[in-house]
Amino acid sequence: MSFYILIKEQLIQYDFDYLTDGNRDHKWDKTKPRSQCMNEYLEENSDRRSKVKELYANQLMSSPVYFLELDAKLPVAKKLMGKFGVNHIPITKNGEPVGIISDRDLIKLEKTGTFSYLCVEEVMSTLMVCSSSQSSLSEVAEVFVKEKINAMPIVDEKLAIIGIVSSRDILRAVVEHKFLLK
Amino acid sequence: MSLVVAAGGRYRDYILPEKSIARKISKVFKTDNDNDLVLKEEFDREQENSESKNTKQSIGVSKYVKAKGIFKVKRENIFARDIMSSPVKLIDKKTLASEAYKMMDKYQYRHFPVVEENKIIGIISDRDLVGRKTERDFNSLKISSFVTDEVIVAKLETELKMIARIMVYEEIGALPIINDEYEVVGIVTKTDILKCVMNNMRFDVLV
Repeated sequence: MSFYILIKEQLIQYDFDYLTDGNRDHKWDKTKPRSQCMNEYLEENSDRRSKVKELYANQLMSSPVYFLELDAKLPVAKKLMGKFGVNHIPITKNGEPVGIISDRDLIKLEKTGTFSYLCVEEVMSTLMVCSSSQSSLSEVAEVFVKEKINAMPIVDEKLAIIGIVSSRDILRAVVEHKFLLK
Repeated sequence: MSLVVAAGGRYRDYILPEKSIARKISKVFKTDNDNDLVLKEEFDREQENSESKNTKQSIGVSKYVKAKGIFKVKRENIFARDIMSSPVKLIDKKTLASEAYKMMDKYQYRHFPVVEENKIIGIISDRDLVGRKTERDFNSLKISSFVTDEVIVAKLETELKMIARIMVYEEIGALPIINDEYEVVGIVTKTDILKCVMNNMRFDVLV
């Protein structure tokens, strides 16, 4: 579990306070020996005989990701969104991510005369939150709600984007999987 | 079926297409990288195996339950009334579009149900307004010229899974909730479901 923020075209690791506070990892309390935690956890859920497995971001992310270069025009972005049914496109410069453009940015400008002249660079938001593929989906959901964003690229160990998790993917998880209440 | 579609003040039942279609659609976007493909196949195979195991287990469990009656599996369903945000801000049919736009800015909401004498006739989202904001007569237009006619509405007893399935299939972000007298009492948006996921559910999967 680790999250990254794009600042000045560089991905920097950033830990959100609300994720590290509180007893999120009550299952695996690091102050106790591991075997003891496991026993406690099993006692709590002794009525449930089956094994429990957590859902991670890399199981739900949609890939491949479609990128655009900095100098692409806005109609191209709109066409790409319509063709593949995505609402968020990461923007790259020489192969490295520098920003993200969303559906709403385009809708604002769609009826104006400058729509076909503007580049992606002038509209995109340069602040982007990324996450590693090992963060669980409840953490991702919390970041979505607190930061008021709708999509989050997933990066691997070399900080290359390998997928995108959007809020619709989490809805899909609610539909497809069985969940247990806390 | 506890879902209703309102079109021009009249209601009718809404029947969701078959589950299989929704599943097919969800598979389209989930193709993985070339490297991950092999892993994913293995994962699928594991899942299939585990499913078959699981059914065997459940048969055993049910026999055990019949015999002893001790074994309990807790599984509570979550309904719309548990997660909806209420009260809702409603917009009357006769208000101006510019006023609605101001309300969206003020309350930071993106969806407002549109009502006429306490009965829902439509829904308006920020996507409808923002695109046409630059038109010349935007300030004099009334909200009724922006509203989408048909709304899908859920009742208080609709399950969370059903709502999520509709949102995924119809590509919408909010469902107004009505009570038995067809009055709007709340709204369930994507963020409400995310909050529910964040607070109430460990993302645990039965294997």
